[in-house]
Amino acid sequence: MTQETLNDRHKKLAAVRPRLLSFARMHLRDHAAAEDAVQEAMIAAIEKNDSFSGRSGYETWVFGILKYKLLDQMRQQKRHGRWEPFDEEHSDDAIDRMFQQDGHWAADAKPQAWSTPEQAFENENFWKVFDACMLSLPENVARVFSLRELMGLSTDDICKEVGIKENNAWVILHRARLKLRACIEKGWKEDAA
Amino acid sequence: MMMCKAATRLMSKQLDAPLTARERISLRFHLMLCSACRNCEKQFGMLHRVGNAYNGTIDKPQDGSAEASSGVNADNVASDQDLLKVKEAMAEAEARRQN
Repeated sequence: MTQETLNDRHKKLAAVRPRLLSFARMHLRDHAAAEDAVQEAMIAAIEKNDSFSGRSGYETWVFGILKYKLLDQMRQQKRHGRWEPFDEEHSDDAIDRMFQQDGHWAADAKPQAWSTPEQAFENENFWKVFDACMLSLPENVARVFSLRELMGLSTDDICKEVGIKENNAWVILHRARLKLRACIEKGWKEDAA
Repeated sequence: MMMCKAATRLMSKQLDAPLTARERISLRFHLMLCSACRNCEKQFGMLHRVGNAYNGTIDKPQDGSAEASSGVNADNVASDQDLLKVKEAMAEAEARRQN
């Protein structure tokens, strides 16, 4: 590889770093730990630079390295017993309040149509709101959601990583999605007001 | 008939596992009649694509409209801090190589 393309790669790495950082922060919920994970991922990307095949995009490749580091870090945390146990049977007041007794939406919780949902990802405010809503989720719920929707693991793999049953994973994901949806809708309304 | 709460459970589940034929039919039927749940289903689908939005967009070929992009893409310019961190990572990688 020529020096020139190497420099290009490093510039690309610097350019993608803010996004790596926000991804890691969302998953770890800790800024310092996220900085560390991203730094480790960048070191690994530089070390393994030659093994980048070019089949996927460079950024996708770097994200893959970061995801691997984040999973590794999570396994270590789990081994050291730093996790709260999952509270399987507990009903959830916040979810109960979204629905009436008979299972219809409560009047003030009905999902509204979001204007231009597909362009939301291009909208800086969406990410601000999403970030805040992720932080408002209970830690266990956020972890399962993040493994599924940010890291892209199957529920089967999540069950192995986290040590829960699949049915439980579905309950947790259902609650996470309902809460995030409601939180994002609220955040956007306040933003527009 | 299935109520909204049960419908949202199936909307969520279908993103993680295939529904049974019976589940699929009752969900479709409910969605036909309930606009709030149709909104909900769209929004669950959007949350499902959030991960791709993170690490997919930056690899897209940059055309002329790239400058107009904002949001996650707005971060696509390295600050001095980011360049510094890459330099640190390069030094660390070099140090590890020599050890």
